[in-house]
Amino acid sequence: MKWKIYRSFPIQFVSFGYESVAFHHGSGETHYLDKDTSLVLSIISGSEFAISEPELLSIFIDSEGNLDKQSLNSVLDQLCKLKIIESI
Amino acid sequence: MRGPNSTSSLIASGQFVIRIGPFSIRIHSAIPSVQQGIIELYSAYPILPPDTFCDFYVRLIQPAGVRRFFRKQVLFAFDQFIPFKPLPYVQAFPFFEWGLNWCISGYSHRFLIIHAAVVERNGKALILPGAPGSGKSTLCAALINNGWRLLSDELTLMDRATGHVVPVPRPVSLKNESISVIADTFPFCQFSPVVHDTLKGSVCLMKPPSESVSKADQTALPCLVVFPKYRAESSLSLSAVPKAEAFMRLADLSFNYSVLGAQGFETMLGLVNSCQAYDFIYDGDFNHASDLFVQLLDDVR
Repeated sequence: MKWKIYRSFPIQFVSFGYESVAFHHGSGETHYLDKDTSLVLSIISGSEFAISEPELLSIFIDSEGNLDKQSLNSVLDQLCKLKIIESI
Repeated sequence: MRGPNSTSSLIASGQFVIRIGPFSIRIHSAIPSVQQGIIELYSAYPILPPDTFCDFYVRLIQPAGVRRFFRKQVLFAFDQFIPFKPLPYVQAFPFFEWGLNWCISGYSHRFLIIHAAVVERNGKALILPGAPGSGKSTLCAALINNGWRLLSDELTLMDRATGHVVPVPRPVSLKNESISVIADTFPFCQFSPVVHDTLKGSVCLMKPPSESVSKADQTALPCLVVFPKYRAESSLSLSAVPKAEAFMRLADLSFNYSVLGAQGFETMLGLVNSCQAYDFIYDGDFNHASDLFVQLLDDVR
């Protein structure tokens, strides 16, 4: 499975150091993103193409992130439910 | 302000229009305690001609029927709308203040409005957000008696166009123990009569300094956000709040952040980017708190 930023509505993503907030222009909701979630989202949003989970995990670990595969899946699942990212 | 008799008759006849910060407000009431409260606590505010366009037309009236005479009650009306259930008659003046808060926070969407006291020094605004009971109004009352200018004790208005804080200085609402704390510490201040047994307990209003009222057209730059928490016999403590967390806390304490959508997000972003944010626990040492805030604001360029 590959992941990319949700396309149907713009997501405004603002980083404050390690943490960030995201504003979803579709739902009007604002979400607080902790360090790991922010890093995952910044990797996906910075990628030109949809990114697979192994690639994501590899870049994540290189970026000094601290998540195992299971936790990464949980983060992806949460972001997907919020319609901030989507799978293809 | 005019003489008390003349002001009372203007209020009783619905001809009394007052400017409070960016708002013009028509106040209409035949209830003596409302008239007296306005005369005593709003004496420094500009009175506008009776035919001025008004942002808000508020009335404090007695309900029809037996409740005019038996266990008297009061209603708050906004235009022709009565948004709340009646309260005991003795609570008429605090009801005016609560109702006006409701009008401003619910209908003034040209501002991002945060539930926070806000004071100013040297053009820099210190925002004190907090849920009821956090001690923000008590701290605010102490600060404005320590050389700070009152912008508001309840509603921080962020101008969406400029990102500045717009003053709406009104009487400071004090509750329960904080009434005697402030009255004992600052005996020269003027207070409304204490009203007991309200939903908030005992309440009273402190007259704002006239200088704060006369400078109500001078906006301030948001520079510092301090989340206060009063805790007796606890040492004073200050700890930084990360910006993302401060953003979410301020959004939670905003009355209309969700209503404003993307514009609310942008305005909040501007606020958070321009401010340092702290959690602050204090034990009632107002001078120490004021000195600390002065130092923090001095460090802001």
